Amino acid sequence: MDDDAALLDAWRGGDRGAGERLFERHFDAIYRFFERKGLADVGDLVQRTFLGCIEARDRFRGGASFRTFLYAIARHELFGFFRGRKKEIDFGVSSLADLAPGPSTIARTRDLNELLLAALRVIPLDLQLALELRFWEGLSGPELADALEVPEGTVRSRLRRALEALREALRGHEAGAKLLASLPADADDAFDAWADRLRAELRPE
Amino acid sequence: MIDPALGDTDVVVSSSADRRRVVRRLEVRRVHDELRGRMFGAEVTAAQVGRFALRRRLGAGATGVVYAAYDPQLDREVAVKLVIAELDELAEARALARCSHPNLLPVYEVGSHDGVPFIVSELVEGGSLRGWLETPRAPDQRLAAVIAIGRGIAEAHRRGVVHRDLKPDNVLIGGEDRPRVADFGLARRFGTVDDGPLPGTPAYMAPEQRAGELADPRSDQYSYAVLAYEVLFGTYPSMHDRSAGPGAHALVSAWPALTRALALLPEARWPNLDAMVEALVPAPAPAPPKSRAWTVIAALCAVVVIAIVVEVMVRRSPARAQTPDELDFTLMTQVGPMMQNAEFDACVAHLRGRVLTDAGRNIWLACAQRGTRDEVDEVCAAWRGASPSTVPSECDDVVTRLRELADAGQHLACLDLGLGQQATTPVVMLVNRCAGEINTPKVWRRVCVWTKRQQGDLNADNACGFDLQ
Repeated sequence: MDDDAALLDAWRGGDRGAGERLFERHFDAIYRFFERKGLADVGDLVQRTFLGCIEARDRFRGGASFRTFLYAIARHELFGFFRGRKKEIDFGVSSLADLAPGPSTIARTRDLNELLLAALRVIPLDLQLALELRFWEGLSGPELADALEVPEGTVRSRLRRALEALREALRGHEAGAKLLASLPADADDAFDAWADRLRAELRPE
Repeated sequence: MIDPALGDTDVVVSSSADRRRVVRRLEVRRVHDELRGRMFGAEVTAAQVGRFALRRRLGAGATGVVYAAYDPQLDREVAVKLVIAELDELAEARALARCSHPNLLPVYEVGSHDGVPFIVSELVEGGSLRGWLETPRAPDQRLAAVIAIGRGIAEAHRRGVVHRDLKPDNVLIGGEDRPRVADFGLARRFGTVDDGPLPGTPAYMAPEQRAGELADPRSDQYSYAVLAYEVLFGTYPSMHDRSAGPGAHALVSAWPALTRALALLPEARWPNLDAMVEALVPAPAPAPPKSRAWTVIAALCAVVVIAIVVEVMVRRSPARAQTPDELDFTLMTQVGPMMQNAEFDACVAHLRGRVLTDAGRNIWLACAQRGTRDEVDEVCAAWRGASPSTVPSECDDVVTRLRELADAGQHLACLDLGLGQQATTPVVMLVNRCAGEINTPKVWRRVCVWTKRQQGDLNADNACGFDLQ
């Protein structure tokens, strides 16, 4: 019983061990998803996401990977978290910086990694999620469509708009000049090569 | 792995990037284990730092991450702060572990976890002074907190410990309203910064500290005064602020102590924090009679008698006027309640045309500033006529203009204007306020060069230690 779908069914049927295996398998990815939002209670959101996947079992189509399914739930939990604080939010407009102002502002950052994270915080959350899942988690176009619950064509335009917004956020920033110059025009093959290079630079360990 | 507080063996060498990685790993593990226990009933042992079992994360800041933890050896809850910022040493924490004062957060011990230094201290339930201020507090309650905080810092200074980063977030205040100053010596120094946000908290830093000098007790005094101003009046100091709140009565008595501590030049401040705190303490009731009612009646009688005598003296024989002290005392008793009740028009009307000392004119000016521009001009004109040498810079048009720009959110224009001026206290404060809103290294460098030049430093351009490129 190695299949995620089978583990999920077993967990839903009361097999805690199966749930635990799923949790072990995907904890890191879901933790990272919330960690990058700089929120205080990451643990709570991670737990809600895993418990949420039991309830949402019927929405899990066999074709999609379990991880993208989890991301979709995580996304709902994140939006729900912000909605709980404030009504009527358009996540196509509001950025993380609007929703959860943090101490790290783009103007003060010179570390490349922090700069990228800070720039991501100021673009609309919908765009941020698309770029982030593509960039750090390496999700493909179809996977992104599943995770974001939009058609593939929308994913492409969203990534393009995300890159534009990122470019706008970095403009005029001294330390951002290099990053800005390296940004690809579109989220195509060139994007992956760029992302690989940048990831290598950001994680010198 | 842990050293007792009095030991000094552990040398911590890891970079802040290394430390951040260690701290992140620890947090990921803690959340992971906690969830496994919560969701699957798994038997998990809590993540440990030294012998301390981490229970929950209380917060994260520029210098580190704080956890509520359990000390099994002494069977008590403690706070464990993992220090991410690179510091030369934890000398301050060690020194504090040796002293005890009701207004200093007790440090139990220091240690190191995988190269990350940590400080174990008392766990204060209640939060920081910042949160405490969000609830309305009576003026005397605010003043009491300010004085208590000052006493704590003064004690640390006596032990040779400088705080370097005083601000409301670094003062913990428990349910019983007893403030405890925390996080001594944790601010990084300017010289050591080559990336990341600015060290310390510019809005609270003394001008010389921003200029790259090491913090000393006098720069702490400046930061403490900014903090005190904020606690008492709910606003960042821009002298005689129009928006100052219900603490007007306290404002009058705390004013001289705060202005002096906020002087641009360290030499012009109070010689030490004890002296400043004593100046903040309200004068005790005049007589020690047996009953409370008697105290009140006696005080009222004294005030009325003095007021009548003064009134008579002033009217009958201007040549035999009161001494300045008497004048000020009388004015306080008359105008204090008006300020307390925000009756600024009455205050202005009361003081208009009177024989006043500079202290009295200051009060008149403060009241006038809640009113119209004409009223302010009137005070300034009277001041120039009576005592040209002591006319405050609040009477300069430029200060008014600066304040207008700052209030209008035009921070860059405020800076451009301010940095072309003499660095008088109100100008410096308004410049700091505007710079604090913009808060970029570039801006702080401009402010630094300006203050250095004003202090006569010919090498000002090179003296502001932070290189931008």
